[in-house]
Amino acid sequence: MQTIKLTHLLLLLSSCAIHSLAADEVSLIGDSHLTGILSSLSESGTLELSSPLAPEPISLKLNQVTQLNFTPPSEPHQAPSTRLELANGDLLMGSVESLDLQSLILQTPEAGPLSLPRHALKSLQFRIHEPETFYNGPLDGNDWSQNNPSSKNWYFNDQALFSDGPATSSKVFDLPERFTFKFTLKWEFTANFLITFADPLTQTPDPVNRYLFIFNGAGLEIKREAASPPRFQTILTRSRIPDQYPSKTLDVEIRVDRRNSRLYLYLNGQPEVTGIDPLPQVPTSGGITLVNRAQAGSRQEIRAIQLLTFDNTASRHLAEKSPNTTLDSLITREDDRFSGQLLSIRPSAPAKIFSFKTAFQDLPLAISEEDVSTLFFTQPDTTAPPAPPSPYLIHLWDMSTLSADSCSFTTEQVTLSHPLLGPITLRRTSISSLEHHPTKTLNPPVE
Amino acid sequence: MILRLTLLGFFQIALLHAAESPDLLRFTNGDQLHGTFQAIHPGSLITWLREDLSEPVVFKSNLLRHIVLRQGRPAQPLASLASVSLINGDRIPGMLTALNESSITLQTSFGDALTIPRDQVSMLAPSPTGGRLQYYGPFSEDGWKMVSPAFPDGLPPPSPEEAESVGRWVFSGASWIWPGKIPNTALLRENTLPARSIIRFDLDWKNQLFVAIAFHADFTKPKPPSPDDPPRRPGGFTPGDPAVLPLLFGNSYVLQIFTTHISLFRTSINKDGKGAIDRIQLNGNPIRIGDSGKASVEIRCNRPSGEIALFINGEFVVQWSDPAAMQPGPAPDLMKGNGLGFLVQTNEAAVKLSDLMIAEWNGMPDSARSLQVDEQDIILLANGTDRFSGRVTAFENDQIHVAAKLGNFQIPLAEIAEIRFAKNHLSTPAEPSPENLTIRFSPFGQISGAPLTGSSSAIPLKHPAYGETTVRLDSAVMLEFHPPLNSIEDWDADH
Repeated sequence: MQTIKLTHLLLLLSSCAIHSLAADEVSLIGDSHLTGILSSLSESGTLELSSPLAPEPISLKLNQVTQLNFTPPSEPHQAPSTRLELANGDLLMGSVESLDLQSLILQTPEAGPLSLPRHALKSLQFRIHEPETFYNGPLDGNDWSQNNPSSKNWYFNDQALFSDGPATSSKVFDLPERFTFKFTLKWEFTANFLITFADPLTQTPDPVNRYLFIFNGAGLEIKREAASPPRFQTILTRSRIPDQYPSKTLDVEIRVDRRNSRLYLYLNGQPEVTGIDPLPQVPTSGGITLVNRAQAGSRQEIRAIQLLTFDNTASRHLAEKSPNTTLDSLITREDDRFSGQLLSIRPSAPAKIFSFKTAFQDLPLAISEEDVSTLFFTQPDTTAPPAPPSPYLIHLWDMSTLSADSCSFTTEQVTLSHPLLGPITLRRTSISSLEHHPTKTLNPPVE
Repeated sequence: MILRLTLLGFFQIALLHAAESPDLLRFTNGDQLHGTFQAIHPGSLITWLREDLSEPVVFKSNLLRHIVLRQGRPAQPLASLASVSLINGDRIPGMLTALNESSITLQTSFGDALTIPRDQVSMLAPSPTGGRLQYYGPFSEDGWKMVSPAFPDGLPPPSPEEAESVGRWVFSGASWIWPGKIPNTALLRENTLPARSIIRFDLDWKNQLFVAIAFHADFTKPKPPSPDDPPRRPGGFTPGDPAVLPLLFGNSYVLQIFTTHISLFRTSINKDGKGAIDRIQLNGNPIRIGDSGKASVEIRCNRPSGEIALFINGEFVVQWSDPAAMQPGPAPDLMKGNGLGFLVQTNEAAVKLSDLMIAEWNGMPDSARSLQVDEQDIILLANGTDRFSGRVTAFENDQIHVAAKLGNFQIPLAEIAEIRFAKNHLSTPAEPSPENLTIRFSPFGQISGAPLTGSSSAIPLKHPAYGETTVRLDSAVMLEFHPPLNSIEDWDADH
């Protein structure tokens, strides 16, 4: 092993612009950084980085490293849908195998099955899903016009619908109670779009219950149309006009929660504003209409039309935090909340069964996993001083986050010493990044 | 000369007796008369006694607004806070004794048992707020104060000269009314909030709603302006000017409620004695308050942790966490005050504040979609955390039986704070009789019906839902003759 002084490395970097699309990144104290392939990270605190810049691996002192970012895998990880929060704040994604009064068995994609003592558990959230896309279009020239006599003047090209003047088309979907509606708007000279959703798509001009998205020279607005007066009410507005988008493109995302009468607007990937449907009954239909209101001669385009599932139940319940630290708490997807003791989670078909004892029943409740939103576990004595923070924080591609008092790398595996769980071995490719806080003391190495 | 002195003396004695008379009668035309309530008769006749009258006088109740008994103080406060709320707005003090699919029976705190059809009952509250009530009213002006930028220590007694220069809240029966003239007078109540509090109240308004509610206010005064400070406009603060908020409330949380959205601020008086405002919520949260001109507002505030939750008309709106509470290190010096204040921030918009309840809160956030749903009964436990939905089926052995999706529960009545019955299973309230009388209790509660012959100790009422019941007046503080079906019409009678 040949140690190269850091200053020489920096000189090499400054004279050779090296870009590697498949390389780990090492950030050092100050603003220095290197790329390469991490080949080892030893207990003695030395990191070896194989770099095309040097014939031999570069040895770096770990106490100089602040962050390691690893090469993304070639295939994206399918994140499990259950999130476990540990008592120290770490997060583990996985699926629950079973639970008894002593421990939880969590099947993780990267570390395999883990047996976790109950005193290390803080909360469990179920169905932390990545949204599922159930429509991604337009698919072809007939997608929005087939069997639709009112459709006119929208044309299909390059995965988009475009028109050079007034145009309209519509399509029926089986929209769930909560859904995300995304689309990209493009315009040539001026933007003048009207898009309806949750629309019954009646063929009459009579008022109906639906939502309207309007984007034109006056800005952006989402309105509620009602079948009975008042016909229109504003849900939310944005004053930015089309001229304020130099690229003449706007990515729109509307998350519709019809159960709670709320609409969440995102523009170009950024959260903008939340609107609330002012009427007690929300539109329940599933139609969408695309309308180009611009004058003839002005091209407008709609592309990347997507419909996705949307479920914010778990995040809402997690905001309730731990209601009672001396008892377990279970919150169902229908907002019921029980205090008591979670006796077991046992495999069953079609879903696991949670046995939960409350004070108000002789026998424990038997709750299907499908009905459970969030669990909070009894917390140990909170008056004790917190443990000192661990020097390492490891992020996985599946959104898990693990603290480590020490860790060592090989080309295939990472072994870390978790402050609550002890030794854990992970696949090396499961790690997205590693943070190191050099001011914290390293603990004894992993056995 | 002797006759004149005698008459003068008699008049002075009469005045003295009038001042000591325990009850107060207010008429719909604004007149009022001290004296003693004697009796009520069929045909809506009230017998009233004054020492300076040779015999009791009889008034027709259709000209009466209300009678305040014993200056708004009960002879004997209710021993229990348990109550049953009806769809017509009555909140009857009493404890549940029987329940089945069709009716609810309670032992009232003021008389006999009462059996009510179940579809008339919107809520059972065996232990509302877990029994930690701090205040309910207003039934008198006691403990309330008005301030403005011109009078930071309190408004002086009203005078004819001030009519065009100072706005005042008006106390009327069981409510405070802001008439909508001459802005920037706040209504305050000091030393009233526990560290973790639920503040629940009803608002009625005309035109649009723009009201600021200050809570955990310490009413610290800013330094008086120095000669070097730029002069304010001759008219003072314009309606809606947020700069007035720290001047009126000191260090405080301030929730602004508009008809369409809300905002939350933290006001403060810095070390230089100047007022400052920080917005806690970046974007005004939209709300659905409706066009009815009436809303029920509930604020839950955990002052030590900085967590605040808002419900409007029983529906959860939003939760905030004060960023100042999230800073690492020792807990920052957050709002230490325990005062409450109200300020209407728009011109020509009358507002009525009533049914204010202040209770201790256990501090738990609650993100339930609503405290009442359409198809299911909701059972909220007194521990402030547990919440069940289902169908309440029976009451046996002091336990409420609930048929829920996850099974059947038997919950001791003593562990239940409230049961809110499914909206879709409720009837619609009947039109009240023209002779309708509402009897209000202390600390809270009311019952209404057509009065039969009664005395100063008890009045029988007749109601289409539960028939006849006799109400002892030991715990009553007000007899209201025209409970407003429409608050706006009621205000028109006075303003």
